[in-house]
Amino acid sequence: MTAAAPNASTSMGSAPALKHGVARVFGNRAVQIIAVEVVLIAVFQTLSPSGAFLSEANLRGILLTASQVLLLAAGQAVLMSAGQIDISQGAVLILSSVVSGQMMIAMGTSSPVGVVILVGLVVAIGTGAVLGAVNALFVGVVGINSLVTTLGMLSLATGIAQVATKGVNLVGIPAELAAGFGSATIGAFPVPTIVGLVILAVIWALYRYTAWGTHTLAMGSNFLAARRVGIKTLVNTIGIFVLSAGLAGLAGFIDLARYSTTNISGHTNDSMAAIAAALIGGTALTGGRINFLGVIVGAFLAIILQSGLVIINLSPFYQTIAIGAMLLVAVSLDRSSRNRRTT
Amino acid sequence: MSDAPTAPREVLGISGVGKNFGAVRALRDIDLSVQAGEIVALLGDNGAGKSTLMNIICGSNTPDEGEIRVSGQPMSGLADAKRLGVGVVYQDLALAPHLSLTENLFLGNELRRGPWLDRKRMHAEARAAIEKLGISTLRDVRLPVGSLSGGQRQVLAVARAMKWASDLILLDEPTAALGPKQVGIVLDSIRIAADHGLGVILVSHDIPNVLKLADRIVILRHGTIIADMRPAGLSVADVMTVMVGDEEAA
Repeated sequence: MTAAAPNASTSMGSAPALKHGVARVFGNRAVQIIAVEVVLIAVFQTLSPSGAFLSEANLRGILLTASQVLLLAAGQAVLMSAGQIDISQGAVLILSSVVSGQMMIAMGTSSPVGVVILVGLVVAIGTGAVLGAVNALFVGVVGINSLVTTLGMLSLATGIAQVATKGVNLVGIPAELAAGFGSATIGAFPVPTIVGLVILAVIWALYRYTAWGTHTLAMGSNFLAARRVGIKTLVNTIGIFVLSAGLAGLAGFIDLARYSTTNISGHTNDSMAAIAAALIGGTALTGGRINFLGVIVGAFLAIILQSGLVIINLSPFYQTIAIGAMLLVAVSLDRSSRNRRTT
Repeated sequence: MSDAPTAPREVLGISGVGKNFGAVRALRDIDLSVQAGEIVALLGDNGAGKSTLMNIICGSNTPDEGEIRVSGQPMSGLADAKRLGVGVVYQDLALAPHLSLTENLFLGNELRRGPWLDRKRMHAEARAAIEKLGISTLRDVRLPVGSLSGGQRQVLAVARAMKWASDLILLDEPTAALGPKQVGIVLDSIRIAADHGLGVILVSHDIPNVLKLADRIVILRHGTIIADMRPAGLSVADVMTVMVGDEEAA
């Protein structure tokens, strides 16, 4: 699920071909991360009391958390592949959940609960999309760097959410939202996680099989070249910011579905987690390269670490240290392997 | 590349074009006509206005005054240039290093089957376009452009411009990073393109090869055309003298 130019295929004998194939598989970033995750899971399972790490409740918690991180990381990876970044995702998530929650509470019992929830979903995604469009206009039209633009949006959206709620998390979200979506499962899998994975798969397919993916990567690889060949860079810039923020809005709706309330102070660092997941998974911060499988395993790496360290009763402070160290190691390994290939 | 007959017709008409950058008058009173099948070399010293004129002809820049017509139709902007079949080799090549050779060749002109990319056909056509230029070192069209040598990238940029040009092709220093063999291949390709009826505008500092290849030499100085001549009988020194002017040459 990597969208970049594949390596050359050359004619060779079966033994060297096998060796080449094995080396290629183990040289794949996603495979390397999966190997690390298997080791981590084994370690946490061994150290956790009564093998609680692989308990049904913990696995379910991991999968639910992953549903939100996956959505944010997918949007972030798309932006990064185009040479952009969005550090306002967490704030967009918060504001979207607040606007959606307030809308559902305002509708109350005036409409059937299914309609209320559907309106809440549309409002959450719509709020995110509008905020994404604002980001895009500042980046694409005014010409402000995306880091600076989304830093402004991070503060703006967080502030608006706090003003709108007076700093108090919402209550009165329809209970059916949690029962029918937030806590619902299909087989062993939580519905929000399935939704996240399906959306990620759709974005991957669009990247792989339509010109949109190639154009987005081209913008990250050489923006001027993309413009010169006639790619509509402004339209595409607006599209990817709207997509990313719309996904953050959906993540906000999942928040409401999971907890039946908002979490106004709980998501400000979510963008960092999403950026870390994309980077660990092999998406280039400088653009031109994206790895969707890497996004998935990168998102799970941070969540496994977080969950495992909690279960073995280590201070939360160590979690952030571990995730930061993992990010630095992954990016350093990536850089050194690329340097080896180019020298 | 079109296989249209090569009857003389104007593929590029420039009349009264001027361009200012703030207080600097980069171009003034530019009139130029290029016929189908004609190779016109645009020469001039640094700062003479060659790049500005090329950027205007390829649609990257718009003139402050005057008019550009490609095959009789007014042109302003990159979208027009693409629609009217203007192929361009930029000096910086305008390639995306992370994308494959095929993806670069078709960038902005992808072949589709419905909404989906037709990668198989694009790879096949990319191989054909490269083979047409006789480049034996560019066998794998799936390679990322970042892994190609400077010369290979240059050839790819030329192949792309040739593939999409239907009436006019602009080449800004197309042989700058090439070895002698590849220079020969690119120059032959330019001649073949002209023989197929394309109008060619070539910016190059390689005056000996320009004298061999071009049908006309247009010399810019201080933002305006000071000479439009046939290369027959001219030496490199003659051209240099016109380019830099008597006062500088003295």
